[in-house]
Amino acid sequence: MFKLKNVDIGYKKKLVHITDLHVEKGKLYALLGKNGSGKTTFLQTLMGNLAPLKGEYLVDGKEIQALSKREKMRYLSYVPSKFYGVEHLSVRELIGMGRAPFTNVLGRISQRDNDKIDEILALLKIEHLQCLSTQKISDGERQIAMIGKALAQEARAIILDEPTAFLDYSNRLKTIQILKEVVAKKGVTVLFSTHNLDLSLNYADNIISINKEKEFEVFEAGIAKELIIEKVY
Amino acid sequence: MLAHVFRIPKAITGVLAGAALAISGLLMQTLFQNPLAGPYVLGINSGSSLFVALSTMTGIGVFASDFGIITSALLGAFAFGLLILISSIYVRSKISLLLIGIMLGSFSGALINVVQSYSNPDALKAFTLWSFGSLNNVAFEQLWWFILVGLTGIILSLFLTKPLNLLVIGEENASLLGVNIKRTRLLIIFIAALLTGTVTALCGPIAFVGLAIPNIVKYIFKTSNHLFLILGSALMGAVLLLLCDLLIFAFSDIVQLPLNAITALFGAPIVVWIILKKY
Repeated sequence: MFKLKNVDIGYKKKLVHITDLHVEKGKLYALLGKNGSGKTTFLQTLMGNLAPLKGEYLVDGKEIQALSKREKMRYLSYVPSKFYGVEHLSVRELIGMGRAPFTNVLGRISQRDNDKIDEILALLKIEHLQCLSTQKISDGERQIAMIGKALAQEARAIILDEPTAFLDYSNRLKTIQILKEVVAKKGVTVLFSTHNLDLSLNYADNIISINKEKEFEVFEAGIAKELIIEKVY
Repeated sequence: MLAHVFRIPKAITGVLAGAALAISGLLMQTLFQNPLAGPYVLGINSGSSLFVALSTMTGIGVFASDFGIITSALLGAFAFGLLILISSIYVRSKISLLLIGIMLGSFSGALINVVQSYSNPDALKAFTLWSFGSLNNVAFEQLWWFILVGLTGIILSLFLTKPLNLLVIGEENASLLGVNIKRTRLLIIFIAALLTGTVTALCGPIAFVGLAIPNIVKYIFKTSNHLFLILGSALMGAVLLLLCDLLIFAFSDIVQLPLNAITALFGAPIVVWIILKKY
C-alpha cells in the first residue's frame, strides 16, 4: 500500500535513508529504533505531514503529495503517544470525531454514524466507558478510545506514535492485542513505533527497524531477538 | 421616549460587545488549547490600544476621524493577532505563549506611556476615559457597523464549528480528519481580531470577558461541542456586560465606576479559579 524508494527523510537535513520499503495491506507493523533514530520523522513522512527530501513515496501508486485531503483521509488515521483527554468530551464523542470525514458542516452524527460507533465500542469492549469523560478514564482506556476514533474514520491504515509509551505492562499488552485483533477483523494496516521489543516480536507480523547505520530494514515475525538488538541498539 | 432613544443603543452595544469578546476568547482558547487564552491576555487588546493611542495622540493624522479609531483598532488587533499566531508556531509551551502575550501588553503599554507624555492634555484625557471602557460612546451611525461586524463574526464562528470541535484533540488528528489547519488558524485569528478590534474601538479595551465567559459556559453546559459553546458564550457575554452596566448605573449617583474595573474585579478571581482547577 505504501511504497518508498530511495527516499531521504528529515527536517531540512537528511536523517535517514530508505532504499526500498513496502508497507503491505492488512498487516501489523512494529517500528523499532533508538531514541533520535528518526521514528517520529518517518511517521510524519508516512502521514504526508513532512515531504521526503528526495526519492519517491507512493500510496497505491500515487504520489503522496498529489493526494487530495479527502483521499488522504481514506488512507491515514493517527493515534498520538499521549492524549490527555478533554474536559466534557465523552468517549463516545471522541470516537464520533472519527466520523468527521462523513458528517456535514456542523459535524452532525447520523444514524449510520451511530451504528458504526456502537460497532466499534463493542469490538473494543469499551461500551461501559462510552458516556465517561475522556479526562476521567485511565491512560490505557484513553489510548483504546483513541484507537476507536481511528477505526471510526475507516481509513486503510492506522499510524500510532509510541502508543504504549505511557502505559503499564498489562495495558501495553492489552493495547497490542487489540491492534492485532483490529488487523485481523478489519483488514486494516497498523503501524506503530515502540521501544517494546518483546511485545513487537510476539505480536507484529513484520518489524521495521532503523539500524545503527541509519538505514531501514524489514524483518519477518520470526526473527531472533539477539539479532535485532545487535543491529538496532 | 427620550429614555428609549438613549437606552436602546447602549443595550445593543452591551449585548454585541459581550458576545463578541466572549466568542473571541472561546476561539482563541480552542486554537491554543489553553483555558487561559483570550484576546486580552494574548495582546490583541493591547495592539488595538497602541494603534488607537498612536492615531489619537500623535500628529500622525492619517486616521484622524471617528472611523479612524475603528480602523486603527482593527489594524492593531490584526497586527498583534498575527504576531501571537506566528509566535505560537515556534513556542510550543502554553505558559510561554501566555507570557509572550503579557509581554506584548507591557511593551505596548510602555509605548502608550511614551506617546502620552508627548500628548496634549485634551487628547490625553479623551484617551484615558476611552481606556476605562464604556458602553455609552457608540453613536447611532456606528451602531450599524457594530451590528454588521458582530453578526458576521458570530456567523463565521458557527461555520467553524466542525474544525473547532476537532481541534480539541490536537492539530495532527484534526488535519487527518479533514481540517485545513493553516486556513482554520488564520480564520480564527481574523474573526477574533475583527471582533475584539471593533469592540475595543467603540467601547475601549475591556478585560477578562473573553477569558472568563467561555470557561463559565463550559462549566455550566458541560460540553465540548462548539455549536453550543459559541451560542452559550455569546449569550453569557451579553448578559454579563448588561449586568456590569446595571451595576454602573446603580452606583452612578455616588461614583462613576469604570467598566474595565468591574470586569477585572469579577474576572481576576475566575482566572485564579481556573488555575487552581487545572494546574
